[in-house]
Amino acid sequence: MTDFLGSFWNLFPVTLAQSLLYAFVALGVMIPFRLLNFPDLSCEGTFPLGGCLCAALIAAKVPPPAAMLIAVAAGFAAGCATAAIHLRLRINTLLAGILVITILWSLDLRIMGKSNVPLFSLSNVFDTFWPRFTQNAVAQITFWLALCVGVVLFLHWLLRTELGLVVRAVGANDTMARANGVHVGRVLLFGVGAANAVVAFAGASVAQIQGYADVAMGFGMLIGGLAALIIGEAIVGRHTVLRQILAPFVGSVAYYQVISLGLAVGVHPSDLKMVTALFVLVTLGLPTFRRQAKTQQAEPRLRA
Amino acid sequence: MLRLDGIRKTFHPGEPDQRTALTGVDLTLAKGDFVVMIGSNGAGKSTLLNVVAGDIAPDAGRVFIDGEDVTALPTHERSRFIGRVFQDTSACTAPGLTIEENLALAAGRAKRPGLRSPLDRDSRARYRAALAPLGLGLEDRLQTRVDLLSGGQRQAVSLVMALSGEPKLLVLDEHCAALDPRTAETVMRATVGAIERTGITTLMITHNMHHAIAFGYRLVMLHEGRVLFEASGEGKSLLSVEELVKRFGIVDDALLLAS
Ligand SMILES: Nc1ncnc2c1ncn2[C@@H]1O[C@H](COP(=O)(O)OP(=O)(O)OP(=O)(O)O)[C@@H](O)[C@H]1O
Ligand SMILES: [Mg+2]
Repeated sequence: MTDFLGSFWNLFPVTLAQSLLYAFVALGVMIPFRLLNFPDLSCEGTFPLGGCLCAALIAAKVPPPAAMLIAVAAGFAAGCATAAIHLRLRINTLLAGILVITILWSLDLRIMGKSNVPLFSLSNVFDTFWPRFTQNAVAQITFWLALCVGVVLFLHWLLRTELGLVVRAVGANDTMARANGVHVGRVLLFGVGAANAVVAFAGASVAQIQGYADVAMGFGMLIGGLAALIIGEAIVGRHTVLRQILAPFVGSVAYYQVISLGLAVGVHPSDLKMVTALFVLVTLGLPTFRRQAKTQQAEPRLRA
Repeated sequence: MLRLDGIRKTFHPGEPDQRTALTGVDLTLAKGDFVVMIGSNGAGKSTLLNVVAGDIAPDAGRVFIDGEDVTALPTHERSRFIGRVFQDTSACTAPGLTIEENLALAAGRAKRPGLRSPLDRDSRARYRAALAPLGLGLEDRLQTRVDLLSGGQRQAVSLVMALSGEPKLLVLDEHCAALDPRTAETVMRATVGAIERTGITTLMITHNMHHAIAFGYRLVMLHEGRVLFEASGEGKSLLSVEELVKRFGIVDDALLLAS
């Protein structure tokens, strides 16, 4: 009994650091899904793109900060590609995302020349300003927490400017946005691009911290991000701008601790993705299920 | 000000569900003109407004605003000089945004959005002053999200939005149809008041024959995708509801019910 709590507790700081980093994936899911009303799957591809491109560049002796910047820019471009496929060719957003993910898989392999690139012996962007960062949980928590707070404050400011209003209007009602002078296509292009830039940033960071990049590192990213987002929205709500921005961060922290607890009580690691997917399924399906139950209950009363 | 030249539109051409909505509409509104458009359901009124606003590209014909051919101009660029209220009460406002945010968005539609805060004491005072004449108490609810308003209240907000930013042209698609009779009167009076005060060129659709006869400088009846009848000045003021219905033999439940 105390045994699993002990191991959960020991892992708490590492898990916290990890969850604050993965919060950026949840943020990259929240932006298109919630702010832009553009269901976008591309993060499943832009996460490994960020990781693989950054790793390949570092391995090719490109300075880590530059490698990171290029990786983020590539994520932005990939997100724009998804949006452009939808806007120009009128292909469903989900299918557009899958097309981009599929293309990126091959691209990652081309970039790396093999299915993974180790970085253990190479310097990374974090070590350059915080020696032994990757081995230091406290340093990681401090850094990621500061970055998360900064990003939340920035978004909270941005979304209440004129530009932010335009972005939110596009997500809330694109007909209305158009009738009020908003170039909806351009907003979606930049918005989905920015979201995937954030995801690619997370991918590049993960590759450097875990010490390698792998083409398969993006698998399950979307469902994980979505699960974190849903948990966060259950905790902090989503009816104000601030709460909607906080949700992916709070949710990510809660989600990874729950996973860690699950692992501690003996959930098999290979079952985690299924458990997460089932969680998302149940959460998304529950309202419909409840409604059906309610109408079935109401029927006899009507007949009586 | 606004000139429509031989506008034609057929939806889904060549398919089983082909529908011809407009069969050659010519209509000119002089600057400051206030045209009321009537016509039975499916006559093509909304389609015509969508052509004016840029949402629907006509199959043939041209749209001129202020002498400039805007037929190919996308909606968001036209919206710089067109204020508009749709028939659908949820189409004109952004649900997750508050009343004041919706108004701010509309007020800024002619400008490129920047990183300034869109709301300040001055703008809020302006919004309050614009909402007060509607008599719905919305001026005290600036921070309410519009999806929490009733359809009629949203339409009232939409009207204020359409009028803001000094557009050259106002297009109203049955903007009072979803309102209860008393609110409809209030909003219609506010609409007409604003139109007369600003002298804005207006194209207004209504199913309410009393409004059609009482308001506007010209009356246009659309039927089966074309202009069937026009009246202005004395001819218009002498019209009666019964006469309109009798003369054109158009049996339209909405027309009769409204009268
Ligand atoms: N998007 C569309 N696709 C197919 N057909 C359409 C579309 N929009 C309108 N129509 C058809 O065009 C015709 C004119 O429709 P429209 O909406 O312009 O009528 P209306 O005069 O506004 O009627 P109402 O008084 O009921 O609002 C109708 O026959 C309608 O079925
Ligand atoms: Mg209509």
